[in-house]
Amino acid sequence: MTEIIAVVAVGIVIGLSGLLRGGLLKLNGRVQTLWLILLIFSMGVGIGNSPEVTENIAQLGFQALVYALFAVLGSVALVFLFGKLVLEGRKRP
Amino acid sequence: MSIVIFVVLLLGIVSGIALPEALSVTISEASSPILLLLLFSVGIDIGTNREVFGQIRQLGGRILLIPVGVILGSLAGGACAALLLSADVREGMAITAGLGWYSLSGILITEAGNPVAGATSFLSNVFREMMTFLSVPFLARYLGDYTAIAPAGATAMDTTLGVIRSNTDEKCAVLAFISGSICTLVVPVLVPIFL
Repeated sequence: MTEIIAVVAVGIVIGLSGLLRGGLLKLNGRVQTLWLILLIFSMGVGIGNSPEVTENIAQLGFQALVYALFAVLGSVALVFLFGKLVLEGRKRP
Repeated sequence: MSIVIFVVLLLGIVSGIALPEALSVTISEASSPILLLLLFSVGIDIGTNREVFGQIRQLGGRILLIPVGVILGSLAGGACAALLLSADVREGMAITAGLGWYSLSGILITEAGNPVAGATSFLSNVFREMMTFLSVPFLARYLGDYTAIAPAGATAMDTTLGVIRSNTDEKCAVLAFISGSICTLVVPVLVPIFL
């Protein structure tokens, strides 16, 4: 967690400093997509290679899927509701 | 975007199964440095949009509604899923209280003496992360940027922050990071409540 906060913070400071402009910012956007794709691939490899996943998926896969789906649905519903009611649109006079 | 993510994720999983063990391990261990590079790049994005910080300040304490919605929604979802599966409701809530942090939730539940629920939690939170990768582009488009943060849970501060950033804006990236950090701090306290 410390590492993560540190790299984000250093990134923000560099962004704020204005050192990167135009072409370099565009490059940042492109490499970001590249890192994202590489990250998803390597995490996929980790999942496929994890005995905890492959050994249990036949027995527990369906239940795990139902739990994941409902957790996502519940979160999406509440955040959507809070967003509509409180976070969006209501501007203070 | 979703289709690209789906194909890449699937290719990764198949490779993880098919490739020799040593190579798979090397590739999957590469995810930590890649994650740091991705987060560094997202940080730069946020920093170059100074107005973001003003917008966040304007929202003030209301930004807490996002992690609160994620936490309560996950627990409610866990309870509903347990009822549907005729499982123990508390156990179901412990499983979804992992908020996507699979390694920790799996270990906590297993060590509490329920290895089956622990394995289910591990797997379920892995699925949650995969669902996040796939659903964020749709949610951002049809239900709005705030909602796109919801499926991520604790992973919004790390592995899924990139996909949230690339489908929303810098302001949402900051909100996602804050929400993910709060969820990450909450998981170790939340899971044991239901054990």
